[in-house]
Amino acid sequence: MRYRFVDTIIALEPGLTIQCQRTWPEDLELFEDHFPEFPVVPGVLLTEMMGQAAGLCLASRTDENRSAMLIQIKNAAFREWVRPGELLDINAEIISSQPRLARIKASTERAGTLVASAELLFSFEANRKLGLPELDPVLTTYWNQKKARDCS
Amino acid sequence: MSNNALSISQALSMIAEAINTPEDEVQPAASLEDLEGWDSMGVLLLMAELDERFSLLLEEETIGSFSTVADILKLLKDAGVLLDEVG
Repeated sequence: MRYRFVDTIIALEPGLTIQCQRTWPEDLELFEDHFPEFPVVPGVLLTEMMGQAAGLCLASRTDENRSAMLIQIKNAAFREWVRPGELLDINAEIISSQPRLARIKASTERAGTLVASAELLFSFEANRKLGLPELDPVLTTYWNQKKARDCS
Repeated sequence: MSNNALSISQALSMIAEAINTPEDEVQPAASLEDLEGWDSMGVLLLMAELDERFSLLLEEETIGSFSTVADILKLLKDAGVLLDEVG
């Protein structure tokens, strides 16, 4: 399983807010254990998913060539089971950002119902150090689609 | 004076929790480099706590100039978020 948990970006205010979507594939091996007769997405992965959404929002800032590193989970709540195959809407907001730190709040909804939320703290590492591309592929797709819409 | 202003003991508790160091070790005269939790992560978490609680942003140079816990308390005093005199 690759460690990318945001499928698409729906809306983006760089460095401020982001709306994304994710559907967890039903055939992921982890569901064989979590749980054999009742597959549900683990809360820790929902937290990571929300963190990655926030990370994309931070990465979208002009001249940002660093990636956000999770350093603290201040609060996380999981209100309902999340099943594979369900379309999830993820919203993240950058609460505060300084050169070395960013605080975010994020939520996950399924058909308008809140299923999870988290408040996270990030530091930053250079993409070059991590071996990551300068621009995230999901962000690249979003910018290309936006450019095409704006030109049409 | 901020409505969230702290006493010295409250400030020391906040610092101890932020840098994950026993409270009895975090005293005004303590040297920061002697505190187990005063590492790059502890510094970041303290910065985050000050930002969240008081909207207080620390510059890298400011952190670099700290040598004792009292230096942090003086910063809090100067920012108007410490009730007591540092001494």
